[in-house]
Amino acid sequence: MKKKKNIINKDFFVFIVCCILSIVLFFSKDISGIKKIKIHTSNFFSIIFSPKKTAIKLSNLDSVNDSLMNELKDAKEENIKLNQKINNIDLYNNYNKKLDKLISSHEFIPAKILNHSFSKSANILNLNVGLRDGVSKSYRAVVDFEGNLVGKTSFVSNDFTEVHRINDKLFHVLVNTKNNVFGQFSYVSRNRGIIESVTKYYEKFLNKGDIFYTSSSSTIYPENIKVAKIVSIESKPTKVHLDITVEILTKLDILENVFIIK
Amino acid sequence: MFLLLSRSIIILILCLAILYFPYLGYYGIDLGPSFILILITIIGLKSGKRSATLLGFFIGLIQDFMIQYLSLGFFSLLGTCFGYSIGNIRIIRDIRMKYILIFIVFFIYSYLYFMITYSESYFFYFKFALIKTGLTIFVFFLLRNFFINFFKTIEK
Repeated sequence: MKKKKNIINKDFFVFIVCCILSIVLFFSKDISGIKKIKIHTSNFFSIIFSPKKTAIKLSNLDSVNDSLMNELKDAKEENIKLNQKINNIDLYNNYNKKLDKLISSHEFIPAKILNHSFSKSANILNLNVGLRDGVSKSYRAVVDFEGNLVGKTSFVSNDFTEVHRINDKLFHVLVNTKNNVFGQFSYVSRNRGIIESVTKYYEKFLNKGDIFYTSSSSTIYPENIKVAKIVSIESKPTKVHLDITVEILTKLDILENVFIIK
Repeated sequence: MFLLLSRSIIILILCLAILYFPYLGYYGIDLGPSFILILITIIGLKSGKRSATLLGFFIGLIQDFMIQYLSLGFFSLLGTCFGYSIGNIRIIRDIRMKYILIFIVFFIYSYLYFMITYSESYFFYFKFALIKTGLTIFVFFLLRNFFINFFKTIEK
């Protein structure tokens, strides 16, 4: 009887220890050692998961091909229009000023994603660049090939960088539209998010399809990085703020390369 | 000997499924069966509370390290509680009651999983947790049918 009681106590003891360790882990998430272990674990599993990653890549090829064909079509049309414009405008008039407007003044560090394909809802991803490649230790914005926001760097080791992705429900960023409507982006689920703290007064300045950009008030994100576009706007009589649903612009599932803004 | 072989095959199948089972998504939400839960359940029913608790904790820890950033530690806590619950269910003699409780524990785990991952309504969590639990239970019984002798020993 006494022996049986001891066994029960041992099981309960293991349970309590595991619970305490989990809670300790939660409070030590900012410790550099824990972050290093995280990066190494993730890299180790990226090797194990590589066959699955290849299979996912192959299954995505069809849709990527279709979208590229469409892009090519659009680009051809755009090209014809631009050629016509070029013939009509004076190229040398205020040329430098025009370039300044077109090309952003930021420097970028290109990086490859070391994906593990463990879960599509992962809140982090690892990059193959680190301090040695010039990545800053402080938080920096990460964008995709089209300049859409992917997330921010959360930890940088010598060779790797961990990125906190935009699809974490605890990820928030201050945004604004071109009409200067300010709000806060928060992730909800799938590729959807919401814009919070926009009062009903601004409803007339917002339209479906409008894009929200990062605002200048952030120290991490430079302004005018595309974040999300409006899918729906609802004004409920019981609420002071608008219910704005947005679609994240970056395609997190098929990302392979990203850029860290210096 | 036969039972040992069955157990090894089941664990091998589950480990491969955890690593390589294709993604079954609905608008970006993973609704595929949770092989991790099946593995912890089998180990829990076979070896008891301590093994299930430790396995739940370590699998949760790996999940935390791989996919979590600000909520680090939640999956290991969830895995620990799940393993301990399964270990407690092992004591119950009535098989039907045992599986009803396993279903409930699976559902609670899935519900909390969606709650940690997404920021949606309670109905959203309920709906997807129910689908995920249903699929997981289906795979569990599929395995049970293939390895009926082994499962009969752990159900005792």
